[in-house]
Amino acid sequence: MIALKYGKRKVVNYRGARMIVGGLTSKNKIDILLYISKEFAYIDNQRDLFDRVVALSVEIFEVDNVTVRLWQNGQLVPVRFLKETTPPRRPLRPGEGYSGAVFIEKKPVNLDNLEHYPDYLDENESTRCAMVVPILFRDEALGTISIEKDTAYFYKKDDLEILEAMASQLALALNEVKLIEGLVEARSRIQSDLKMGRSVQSQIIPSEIAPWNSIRFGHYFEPMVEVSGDYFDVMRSGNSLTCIIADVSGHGVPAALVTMALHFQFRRCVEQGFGLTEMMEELNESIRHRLPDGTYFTTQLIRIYADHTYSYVNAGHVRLMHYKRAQKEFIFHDTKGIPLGIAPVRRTDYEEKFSRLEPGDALVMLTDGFYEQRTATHEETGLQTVINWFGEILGAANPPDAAETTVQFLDRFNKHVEGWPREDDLTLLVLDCSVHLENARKVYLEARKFLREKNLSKAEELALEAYRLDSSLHDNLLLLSRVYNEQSRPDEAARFLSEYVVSSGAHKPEYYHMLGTLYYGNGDIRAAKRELKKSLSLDHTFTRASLMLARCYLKEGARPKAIKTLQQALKSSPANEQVRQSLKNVESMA
Amino acid sequence: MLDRLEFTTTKKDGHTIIEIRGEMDVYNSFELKNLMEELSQNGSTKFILKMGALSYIDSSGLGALINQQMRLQKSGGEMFLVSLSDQVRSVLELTKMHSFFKISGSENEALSASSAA
Repeated sequence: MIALKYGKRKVVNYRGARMIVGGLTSKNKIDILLYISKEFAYIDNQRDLFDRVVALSVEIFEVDNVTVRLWQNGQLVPVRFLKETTPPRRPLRPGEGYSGAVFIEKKPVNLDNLEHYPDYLDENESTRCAMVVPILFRDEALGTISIEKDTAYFYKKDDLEILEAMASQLALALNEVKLIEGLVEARSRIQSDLKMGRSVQSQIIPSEIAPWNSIRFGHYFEPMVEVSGDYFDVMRSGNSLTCIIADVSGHGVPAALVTMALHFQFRRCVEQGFGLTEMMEELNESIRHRLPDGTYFTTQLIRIYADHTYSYVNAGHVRLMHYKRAQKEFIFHDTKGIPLGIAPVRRTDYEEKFSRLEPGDALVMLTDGFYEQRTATHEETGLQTVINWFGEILGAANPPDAAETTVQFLDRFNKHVEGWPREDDLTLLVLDCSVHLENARKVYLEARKFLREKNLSKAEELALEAYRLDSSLHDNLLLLSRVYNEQSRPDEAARFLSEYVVSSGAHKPEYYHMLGTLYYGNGDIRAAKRELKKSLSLDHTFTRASLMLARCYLKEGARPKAIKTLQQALKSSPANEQVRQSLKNVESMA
Repeated sequence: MLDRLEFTTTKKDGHTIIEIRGEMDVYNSFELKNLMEELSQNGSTKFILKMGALSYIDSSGLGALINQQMRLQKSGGEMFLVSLSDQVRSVLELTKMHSFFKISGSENEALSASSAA
């Protein structure tokens, strides 16, 4: 509240003329202007700004009402007022009413007696005196302020000047507030877009990686901003598993978009059976031409086979670290070849090398964000420090599995770099070969021997023991499925076959057909149909799956669907007599 | 330690020598690109980048160097990197990009190599 010494205004008649007694004097002007300027200084949104205009108007001009109008969509829209009028305020066209007239003329007016301006008076209007000023910013009218009083002749020239000054201050403040609000809105939009980007990117980054044939995984992915230029993926293809880790230069959205392309090209290459060096050439050629200037990506690929040998190729990425449990030391794998995305490359520019994982061994793939991250004392963490941490964790008497290794490593890393902001995206993929592999394999081989001898109960007992030792050993999962199938226990047989398909990624029509048959045998027709359709989606000429699917439909009493299935099977395999005969039989059924 | 990137440009034997000081990262690597492209527009084709005082480079900084190397290669120009700091040398070796660039121990070595070519 401003502390000014002036009396309440009063309109009096003096010798036939109306005079205002009290109110503002020119001496108060400077104080008031400073006061207004201070009041507007710290406001950062339009709502508070208009509230302040109304409050100041009450305080300074003893108003009965005040209306702030802004020019929006071709109309002067009332955005704030002291109290509602009868009839209620409405948006005005330019030139309409005293506010519209002032807006057009861009000149302030003091209408000391509105009875002289009947066009400005609505029916039942109580206002008798009004001061109206345009809100001008660099000659552009942004709106108007009207100060309204039910007493005629209430305001004088000094009041109008102060109101004009307030409108000028308001114009400046409004412009500033609009900028701030624009920035806030833009920031919020960018954040929302980035969140969306993060959500999309999270769909290409594995969230959980189930063990694969005694190989277990630990992983970590942290974008420096909402989205990342790092990428990793693990793809199963039955008897092999392919992993990629890549780091696109730069950060944020441009780099993240490259990772999207990388993801789809990587998956395509694996599905099409590319070798690792071929894959490097293909990734480079399919992405390079679309990269912004100076953008490139380092990439490391490894492929692990069912016997736990593996091959690797490196394109400018940090060396692959292989922890040898028996020797308690790291060996480092590197191959020639520059990063991708820079220049045309051929598969022969890269080399594929081979090694082998023994039980208890681990592989570490990571991006440079870890070892280039600086500490509170501005020192780089360094690759050797990172290697030492892994050596300590993996060299423990009871070494943790890959997931726990990742947790322990991150714990050390975060403590080390505490107090310094992240400077890069971080990605870590740790793979370990279960220490129980050897025992599990021994027990599995025993179980297989008993299965050959048709000693099903002993085979089951041993295979389950191997499963307890290592639940992802693929040969054992298939063995368990077979044992239960031979014991005519389709439910259990289907469970282990399904585990095998998921873990190995062996999406073959034969496996889905087998699953469908097992579910059918167990009476679960819905599950049977689901698996048989998967089988046919992989190979529509696979007639055994079509015949089985037709049986499922017949079991459900859906003969037309069975006929349709067989008709389609016959189109795919016109020479197949069994399908032809089955179709004939089903068509002739009553 | 400098957090920003600073350049000093001189001319010698038909070469533009740019001494780079500070740290080159995602936030400022475009400055090198802008500078070199501007110098090229003014007629420079042969560059020697003195990097002894470049204490830090990240993948974006390396990207800027690659970008300039490719640009000059296409236009018949050339670029030498000289007096690399340990950190820069380590990044180039880790990414195997040391074979991609022309690297010399000193400014004079680069000048000799350039005139010999």
